[in-house]
Amino acid sequence: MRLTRLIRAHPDGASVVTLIVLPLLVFGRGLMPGRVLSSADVLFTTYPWRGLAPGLRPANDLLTDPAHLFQPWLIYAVGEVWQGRIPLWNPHVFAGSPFFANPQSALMFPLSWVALIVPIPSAFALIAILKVAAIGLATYCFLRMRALHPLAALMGAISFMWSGFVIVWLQWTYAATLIFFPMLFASVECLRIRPGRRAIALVALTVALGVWAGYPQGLALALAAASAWALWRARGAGVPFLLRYAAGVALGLVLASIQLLPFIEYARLSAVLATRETWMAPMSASFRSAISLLVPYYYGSPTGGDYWGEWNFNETAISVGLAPWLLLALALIARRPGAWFFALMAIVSGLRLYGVGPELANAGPLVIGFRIAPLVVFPLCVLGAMGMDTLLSEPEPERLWPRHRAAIKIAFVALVAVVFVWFIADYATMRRLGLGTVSPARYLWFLALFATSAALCLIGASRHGFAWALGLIGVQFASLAPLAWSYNPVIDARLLYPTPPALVRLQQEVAEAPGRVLMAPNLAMLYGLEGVAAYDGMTPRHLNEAIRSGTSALNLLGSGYVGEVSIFLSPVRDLLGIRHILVPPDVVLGGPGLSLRYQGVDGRIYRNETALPRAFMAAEARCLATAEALKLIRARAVDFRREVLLTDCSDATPGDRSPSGDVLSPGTARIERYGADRVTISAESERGGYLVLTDAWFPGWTANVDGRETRVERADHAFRAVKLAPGRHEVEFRYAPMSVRLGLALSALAAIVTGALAWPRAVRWTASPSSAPALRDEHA
Amino acid sequence: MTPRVAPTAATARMTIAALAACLATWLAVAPVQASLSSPPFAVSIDVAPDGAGNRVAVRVEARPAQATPELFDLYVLQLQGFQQALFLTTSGTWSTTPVSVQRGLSASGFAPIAVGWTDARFGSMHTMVIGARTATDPLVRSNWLFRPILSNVQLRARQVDDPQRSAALLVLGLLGALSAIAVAVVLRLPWNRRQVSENK
Repeated sequence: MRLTRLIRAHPDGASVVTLIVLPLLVFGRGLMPGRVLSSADVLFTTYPWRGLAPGLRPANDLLTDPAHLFQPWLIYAVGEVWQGRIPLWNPHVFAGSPFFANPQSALMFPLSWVALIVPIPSAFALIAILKVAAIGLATYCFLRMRALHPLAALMGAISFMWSGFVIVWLQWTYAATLIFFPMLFASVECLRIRPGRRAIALVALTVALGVWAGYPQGLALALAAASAWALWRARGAGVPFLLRYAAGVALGLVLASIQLLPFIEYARLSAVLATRETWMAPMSASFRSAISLLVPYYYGSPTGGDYWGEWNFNETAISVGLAPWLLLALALIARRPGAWFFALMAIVSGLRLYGVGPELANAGPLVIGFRIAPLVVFPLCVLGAMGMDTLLSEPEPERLWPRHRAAIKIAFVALVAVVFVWFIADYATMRRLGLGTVSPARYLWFLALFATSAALCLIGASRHGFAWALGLIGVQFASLAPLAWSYNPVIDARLLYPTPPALVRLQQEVAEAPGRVLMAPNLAMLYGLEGVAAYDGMTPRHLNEAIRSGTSALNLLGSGYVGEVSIFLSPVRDLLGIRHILVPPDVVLGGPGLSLRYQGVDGRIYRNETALPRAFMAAEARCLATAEALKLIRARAVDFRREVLLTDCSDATPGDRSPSGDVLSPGTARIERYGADRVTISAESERGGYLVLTDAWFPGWTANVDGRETRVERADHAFRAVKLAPGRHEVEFRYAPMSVRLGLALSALAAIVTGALAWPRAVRWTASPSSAPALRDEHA
Repeated sequence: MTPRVAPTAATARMTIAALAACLATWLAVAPVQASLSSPPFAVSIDVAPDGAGNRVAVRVEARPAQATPELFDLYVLQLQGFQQALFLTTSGTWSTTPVSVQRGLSASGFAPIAVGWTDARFGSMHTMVIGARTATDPLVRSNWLFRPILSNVQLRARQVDDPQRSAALLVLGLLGALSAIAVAVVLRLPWNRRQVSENK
């Protein structure tokens, strides 16, 4: 009673507290001493970590990207920032690659900054908590702006923040971008209800934060949906409203320039885009897998190790709980403002998601078909909230009660029938898979919660008060909680990137004989090593072509990793300066220059004596077309030590092979100082030549020879070189890309404009009676 | 709290506006034309349970489109995630190295090709049919001549093949009964409706 009184007195406050406390309860385990929210235990399926704990089974072996990519990136970025550097470049992967330019590094996003002030193990959990809470709060904000009852808005917020899609992608940057689906809709509402400068500024800030959140493709989808919503809401407001919205979006994109411009530059030079432009696999699941919308574990789960559905669990898990399926019919029957918009959005997106129609699931070269799922999930949650609001706010329940009752009952019976028929059809298969007991239990869990939801909805349809609504919200949370609780594991902190003996030895070997290492993708960056094997969702195209293009690998989405085997077999292995190779204990390497340096239960380390130094002088140079250079490299017809192949060269004549220095003694080069974005080399040559640095070539790298700016040539297809005159020189390579500088200038300019628009006037954004006319306008 | 909406003449306009809005959303994520052309063949896959598993038959029929002078080899792949694949051989086994089911095909037409295999597994699998330049590596994308065709194959078991069929039917019957009870309870809710009406 006290609780209901409190909620009645402060509904918004109580809702906000609920939306913050629930994520804290679910993921707060990760804040406990000795615990960490991480899937880093997946490393223990691979060497050298496997040697530390043979047989350890990861809690969720599907969460490889967070363990191999996102969490190492965050650790690396925090380390760099604490040392006073902005991590524009990552020298530890791919022979160097843009770091800041990859939007998934999300350096500009405020939630990433949590890791700067909180210890890393706690930061992982805190970021997850804040992400989920922010998604809930943004959804609540939008629904309240639509003047929904606080409890209905709470239902919508809980449905979206705990939806399957949010939970399974929680440790990816897409989950952060999901905050801006409801935020964009809310900013459209602001603009519609209170048109003015500040609303335009809000749209701009939302768009910019959405870009910075780390998954611009996701924001593009959100913008498409929000723009459609703006069109819908333009009725009665006309063209000026749309122009204001367009201005806000444009300003937001300019505000995000500091991230967008480097991203576009990297995307244009990425292997992923080049691959997907030839053909993007139309990723979709069959319509029958949509049953997991109602029963999340219908096809098992990776945490249970019994998944038997299509593709993988992450791609198909988009459940929104059970209550929205009963409530959405009410929203449509009652013709709630915007209900049909969200219904059509869900239907159209759902058809695309489930591949209905030929090749309809292909959403362009950058967006994987499955990633349009939020365009299904979000409207379903909104419709559920609208349906609940219908029950909570109906002034004459008796008049509408029969229709509501019928709708709820029909929805309940129809969906139970669908799930049961599905279950009958699949039960023989489940039994063959050894799921004869667990599958009926999952069905019963669904039935119990769905029946309870229906009962509470029916009670809500016939009675005043809102105790039933609290119960329904509780049941809705219960239907989503098992996935939320179990999917993102909280592990022993000792499993977070430990250092096996093989890695200790590898560090010693590198100290003794500097050079790159070949080991598990991406993780060299955590151990102060410089590796090549990597993936980052984009992949530098030139390096990929030098190493992997032409090798036999499926790489369906183009974002597969540049792996150890392809690097080892590639014609540029020695050129890359790979001096140390870490392999599993049962792998034996042979070949000229390879010698075994370490053997243990966690792996073997070989030293490659034929590796070239990271920087050296080449006596000869040839200027060739890209295809010709690649052909020679792949044919292993180039002596890299002696000759450098230049592409897009400045002053060499194509085909010119005349030596620019003494072939027998081309000169010496020594790396004096090596930093992520600055490399200083002293070089000496009697007759001049080309200084080759086998770090990845990329726009933005400049070179100063004895203080004079000199053009950086693209050497041997993927690396850097500068021409040197005879004598001794000091060469400094610096990474200061124009895309970042220009982006910074544009962002600063847009920030001033946004600030000016937002300056002072106090405006209340919360739902108020004055917003009702705006909603009524929709039906005028 | 929200004003209830009365049906008005604006409903039709609202529907049109909604459709336009959805169309805009659709167009925003519309497919783009890939640089690879559409395949000059159609693929159909039939799955027939045979007790121990499923017999899967893949049939590829020519669908002459544009004149592509180059000959191509046809491959049927079983996807192992997004990075790896197995190749179907003409004898119905799977190979880790590229094996074509038919070589030297012409895009202008060819006799129907039928291959298949018996699968003892259950669940889902994904196949991909590729037409690659003849005598080249089909795993190298630059060798593809056409857009591949992806298919989902459902490998299901039948109740009649269950060795403990009666136990399975018992479970299903039990679940059916519980479902019926749940439906009956919900259909009869709220029990106090009559009382509420009488009180009024």
